[in-house]
Amino acid sequence: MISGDRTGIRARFLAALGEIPPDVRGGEQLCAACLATLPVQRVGVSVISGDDGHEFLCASDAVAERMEWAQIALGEGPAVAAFTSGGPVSTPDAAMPDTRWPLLAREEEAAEAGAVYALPLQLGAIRVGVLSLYLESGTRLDHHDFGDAIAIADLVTSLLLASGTTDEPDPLDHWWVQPRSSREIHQATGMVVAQLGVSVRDAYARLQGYAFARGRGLDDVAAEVVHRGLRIGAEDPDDDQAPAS
Amino acid sequence: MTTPYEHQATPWQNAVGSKMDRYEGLARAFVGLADTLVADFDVIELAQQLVENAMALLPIDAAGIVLADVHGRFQVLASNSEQTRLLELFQIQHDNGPCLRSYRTGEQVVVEDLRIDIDRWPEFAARAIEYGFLSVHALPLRLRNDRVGALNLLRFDSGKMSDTDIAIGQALADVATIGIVHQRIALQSDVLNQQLQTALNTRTVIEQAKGVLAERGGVDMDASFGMLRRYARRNNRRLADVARAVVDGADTAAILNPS
Repeated sequence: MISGDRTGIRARFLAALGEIPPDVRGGEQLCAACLATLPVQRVGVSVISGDDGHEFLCASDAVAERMEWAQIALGEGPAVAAFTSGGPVSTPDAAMPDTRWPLLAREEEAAEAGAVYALPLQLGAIRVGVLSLYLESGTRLDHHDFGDAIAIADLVTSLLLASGTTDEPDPLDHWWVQPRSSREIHQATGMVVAQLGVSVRDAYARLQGYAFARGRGLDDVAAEVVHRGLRIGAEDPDDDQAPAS
Repeated sequence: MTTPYEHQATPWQNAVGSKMDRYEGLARAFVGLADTLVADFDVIELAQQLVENAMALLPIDAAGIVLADVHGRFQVLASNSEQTRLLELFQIQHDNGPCLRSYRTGEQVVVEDLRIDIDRWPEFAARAIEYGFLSVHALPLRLRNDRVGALNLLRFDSGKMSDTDIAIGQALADVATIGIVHQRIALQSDVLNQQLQTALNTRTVIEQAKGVLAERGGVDMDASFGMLRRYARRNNRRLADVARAVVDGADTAAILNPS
């Protein structure tokens, strides 16, 4: 049973991130905030760019960074498996001889990496990337910490999805109130895909931009789209960013 | 005044006369489920079948399988209807409700008459009664010490189902649990938690795909879900895979207009 109240961990993560001014926030800061809030030794993030290509975003240290690069080069590893399967993947030791990833196990950094939890950064069919958490070899995240890690992965997903969709001075405030679980948000995203002929990620960004620009909840805007009272404009995105005065 | 929860006559009401029909239905249900528990099976489709089996075999008027996410919120994995009001009824129970109690304790929770027990879970009871439901059976989704969610069975009538009915319901819930935790590899708790996350995200992909189909076909969410399922079955493909393809821009003509 991994359910629990995740308000505390979310607050700590956002506080860690909030100490950094928005204009210099980037991958490094995301990694630092993960390291500050989760009981792990190192953190790495890769993101999806263009046609499903993995791209290195950040790492908390050299070992985590080399693990990211090695997996991109070899095309195997927990992060690759997490991305492909769409679910979390873990191993008690990345260097295990009988590993699912024989090539990676032979790499020098695998011996140093230890236990790995690779968590997909995704929202349904929207694939953003993978968050890799490293622990001492043979150790595990307990139920509570695993739940925390999933909650952080969700937050990182939201942050990466929102980057570039809003001109808000500090969009961090929104993640307290934006529910990610409402079915109507996902249904509305699909409807915008069909209406505008855009990718699912872009459709979500359009919904989010529309809601942010008007100070409305994403669930609220989504409900209106689903019940066919609202169509997000097909015009220049800048037009529907303008607040309705 | 809200209109009551809309429903169709439940099949058991026609078939309940014959014990043999019931046994046959039960046997068919489990054979069908065993058939889906193959290597690369589809957890959402399995959950959906279990809900439909429950509707057909038990004297109930609505059913839903909920999983608890890491935040302790209930997410509906499958239900007999996609109606928002019904889904909300399942989901609001993360605050308080028979489902939450069943999930927390790992035990069966029977509320024979919501009107009597209204103070125990005021919000849930009030909403359920408003939609016409008077009794609830919440059966835990548990495997050994792990608990993942609950099977909610709602009835317009008050009263407790027979012990046989409850046993059938629990057997369906147990199959769902085994399906969700991927058969027996899930002894390690990491794997269970990982499977739960995968199942929950798959549900999100399906919602996105429903939106695409609803918009293209000019139909409601229930209808688009039906199209998605029928297409997946006809073509022997996993619901999750079809849904992902739809969202990623696959041609949907064959789904919207089956020949």
